[in-house]
Amino acid sequence: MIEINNLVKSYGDKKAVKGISFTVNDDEVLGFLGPNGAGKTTTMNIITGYLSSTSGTVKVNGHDILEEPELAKKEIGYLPENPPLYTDMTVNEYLNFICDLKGVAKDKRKEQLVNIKSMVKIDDVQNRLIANLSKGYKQRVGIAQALVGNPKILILDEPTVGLDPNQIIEIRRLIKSLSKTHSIVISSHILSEIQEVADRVVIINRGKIAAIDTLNDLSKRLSGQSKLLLTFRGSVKDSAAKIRTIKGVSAAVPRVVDNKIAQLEITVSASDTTEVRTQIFYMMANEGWPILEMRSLDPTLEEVFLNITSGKGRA
Amino acid sequence: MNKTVSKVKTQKSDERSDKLKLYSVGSVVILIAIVLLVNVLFDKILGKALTFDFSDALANTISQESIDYINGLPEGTKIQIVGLFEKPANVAQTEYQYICPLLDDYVKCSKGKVTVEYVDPTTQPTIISQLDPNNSYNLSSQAGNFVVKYNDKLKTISPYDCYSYDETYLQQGYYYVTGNNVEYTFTNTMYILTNGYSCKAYLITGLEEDGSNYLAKILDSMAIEPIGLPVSENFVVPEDCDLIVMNGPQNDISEKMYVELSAFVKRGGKLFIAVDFNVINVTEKYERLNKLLNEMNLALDPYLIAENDSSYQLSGYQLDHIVKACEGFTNYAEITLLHSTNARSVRSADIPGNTFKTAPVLKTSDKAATTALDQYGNAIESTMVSGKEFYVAMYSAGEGTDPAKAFVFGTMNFTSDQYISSYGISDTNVDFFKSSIRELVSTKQFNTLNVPTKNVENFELDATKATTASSTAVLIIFMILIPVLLVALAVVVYTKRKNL
Amino acid sequence: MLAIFKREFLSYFRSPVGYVAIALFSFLSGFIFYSQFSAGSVNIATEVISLRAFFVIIVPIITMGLLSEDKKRGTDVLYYTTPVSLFNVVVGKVLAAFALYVIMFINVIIHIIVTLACGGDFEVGSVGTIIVFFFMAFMFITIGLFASAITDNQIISAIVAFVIILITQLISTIGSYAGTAITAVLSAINVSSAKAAGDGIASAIAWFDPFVKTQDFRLGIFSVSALIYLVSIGILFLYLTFRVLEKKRWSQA
Repeated sequence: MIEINNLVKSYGDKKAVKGISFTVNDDEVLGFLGPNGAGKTTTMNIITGYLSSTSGTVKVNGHDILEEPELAKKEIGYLPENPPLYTDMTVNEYLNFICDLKGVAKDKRKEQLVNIKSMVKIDDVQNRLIANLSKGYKQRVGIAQALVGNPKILILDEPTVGLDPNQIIEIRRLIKSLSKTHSIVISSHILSEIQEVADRVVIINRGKIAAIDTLNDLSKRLSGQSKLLLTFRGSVKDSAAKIRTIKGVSAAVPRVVDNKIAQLEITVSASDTTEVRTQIFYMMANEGWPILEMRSLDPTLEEVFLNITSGKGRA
Repeated sequence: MNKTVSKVKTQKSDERSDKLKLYSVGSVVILIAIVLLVNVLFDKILGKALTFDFSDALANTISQESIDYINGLPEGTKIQIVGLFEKPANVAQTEYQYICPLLDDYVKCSKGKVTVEYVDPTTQPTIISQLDPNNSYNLSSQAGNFVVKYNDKLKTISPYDCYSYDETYLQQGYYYVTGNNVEYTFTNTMYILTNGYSCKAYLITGLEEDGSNYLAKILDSMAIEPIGLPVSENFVVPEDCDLIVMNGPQNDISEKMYVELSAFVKRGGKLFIAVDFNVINVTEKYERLNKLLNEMNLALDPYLIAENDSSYQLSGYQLDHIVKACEGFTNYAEITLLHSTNARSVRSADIPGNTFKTAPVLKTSDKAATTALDQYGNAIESTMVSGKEFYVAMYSAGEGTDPAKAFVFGTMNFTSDQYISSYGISDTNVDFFKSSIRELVSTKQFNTLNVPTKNVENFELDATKATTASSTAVLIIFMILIPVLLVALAVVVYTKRKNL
Repeated sequence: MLAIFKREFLSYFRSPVGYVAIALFSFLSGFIFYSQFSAGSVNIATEVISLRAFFVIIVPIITMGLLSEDKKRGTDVLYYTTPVSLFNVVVGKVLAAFALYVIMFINVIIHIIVTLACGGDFEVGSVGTIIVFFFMAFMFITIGLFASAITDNQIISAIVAFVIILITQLISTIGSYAGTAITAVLSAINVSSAKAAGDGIASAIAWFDPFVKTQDFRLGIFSVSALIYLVSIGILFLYLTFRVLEKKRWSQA
């Protein structure tokens, strides 16, 4: 696990990171979110030892990154935004070099590399020159590099940036399978991605932490409320009025109106919507308005994100 | 509250960065200081102790002979060496290459007795009046040379004097160094300054002889002052003459010379004569010279010696052969086998009643032959005598205390510039010559210093292997083939990898 | 360290750089050797000494990419985030460049063999110049590495290395110019020991000239202090390189 305590990084008068503290637990996937320039990459660089903080500490599995750098760095595999690839080497040559750098024993090397290569699906390009690979493959080689030496913690900075949707799915799948055996910190501003893979999310804005929580709790905390979307046949105005009378409903807003289908956006003030939904079911049945669909409309991470980072929401 | 907290935090973080900056710059400054210190320490203080001279002949270290000589000088002796030029920063490519480092060694070993400095007389003209107040040595013409001064006595040494040169090249005007005589020249000069010359030798010139530069140097180094004595109508042997040297005269002496020299011999004079048999004196019979030699019971034959014993021949050549030192002269050099070329036969004249006792000095094998040659260099059959032992050098001495003595050598290999410049001043022939001179003027004090000369590297290639063909091969292989191959390899590797 | 060394050394041969450097060295040394050989006498010491003049071209070519390429490519992050220490990185790179020099020197070894085969002489003075050659190569490589560390542009790195090496080759000349300048200035304001001061400055500056310090090696005189000078300057530049790399991590700008 990684303990980050009060990290500050200043460049002259400007502070890129203004006192960040959080913990990365074992075997979790931590999403690291924030607008561009928020300090994500800087923080990740500090955690991995690429940069040194102006003040504050980073402890990786108990080893301080400044005092016991070799031990701390052994535990981390880092994929920076631009994967550190030697374009004049082939994939195999490169991975062997990384093994040398990370001190992987010669007898364990072959097995490890075979595993990594098949995990990351670069077997068919292993003898190709890195310069000749497509971006997708390059990214995968970058991930392979992070996996060398079997570090317990992976830190991936925007691993899917610039990839096409297929490749993104591949990477996402890979991350999901890796999360079973490693703790992963992944930064992105593709929120759906984080939504898919992360257990917890840290939102950074302007060098400070704006929110840390699990996804669910986060979005719930933002709104303090749950939302339901009701699609049915019937009068929208009447139903809105009727539903407003149900206990726990704080608002009911018509969404789409046409002569066949009506939609209502219902805001429920309780976090558990089960009781309210039951009530709605019975009520609609009574009125003879068949429910076509009733689903939860909890704020997306996007909404959470925008809210928080624009300063409107308080986390 | 928040503001103060954040201010404290900023201070702390600035402190850390300031500390780091200080550490960074500080450590670099300290390292530079350490580097400077260590280097000054090693250079100025430990420098000399940690310098190792591996050169073949220890070309830049003075020999034990010189060291012993300097140590033998009384305390407080001051020998001043001044180079009348600005010492070049990089002596390696100049004519002072072997001189300046050696002089430094003199200083180092002499513990203050010898000092060396370099003063350019064009920028500091006072140096000339300092060294030579009476301007008796005309030092202003000696810019670029060295001045060695002891008390009031001065000698100048030019870098040219310090080396032996190949004679053939020299005749064409090229200075091709074959021997390094720097220490030899300087130490012997110092000796003469501190001890003076012990006697005077007059070298007769004007008889179409080749040069005697090296002979003069050798005599000088023995503290015998060599002075030229030209042939003239008023030829006279000076009163202070201790030794007369005739080094390779191609012509016979004149009647006046004979008379003078005969008188010289009668008053106990010493002679050293070397003549060989060559294309110029092939028909010269040296009648008057022989008349003189007869007075000492010696004779110089007009015959050329040919050695037929192949074990005496050098490279299978009859006229270039070994001669053996005879009894009584076997300790004149380290080995008793000496080198003779184009020798004239020398013998006892066997004149009845002559009180001079003669002894053979150098002899051939008993299978040698002599013959006279005509002016075309063809042997005259009727004069050939073969299957005998002949003498290439003879010695003669009169009776009484300090009598007249003479050495007559029938080959020029012991005294000619040609030979000495090729084989060096330390050659055994030269040693033999020096011993014979010592025998002649044995009553005098000598410079017994035997300062070795040093070898100069010879970088010549074997001409049979370094032919034009092979050098063209070198050109092609190293300047064309290999680079092209490498570039081709580069292209191949590059394109192969590019497509991987 | 070995990993870095292996990678950098092999990369010289995966791109044209290594081959071109060796070809250039071969051509230049071949030219010098040929001009001696055709004249009939070969002094290896002279050849090795002449080759020192080419450091100023060859070293920048070899070292320009050593660190600047890493910065450009983004691979320098590996040096900071893996257990390898910066010290090992710096030393590994220097060794790689040095190893390339050793390979280039094989040309001269071939020359020596040819010379000996043709009856020439190979004496202790030549050994001395060869020793000096390698120590100087080390020193100049560290200078080139430093030049490579301070920028991410190979061309700038090459130019900086070129300029610094050129200055070291001209130290004595610079010293004598400074000396005469000081003398002129001091004489103009009528200071009595103007010439002595000028000469003093000139010789003080010339003391730093590595070529002057090592000139006696050619005569077979091995001076340990000269070698120590070369090594210590090399260490100085290694440390500077190390500090530059460290600075990146702590940069506050």
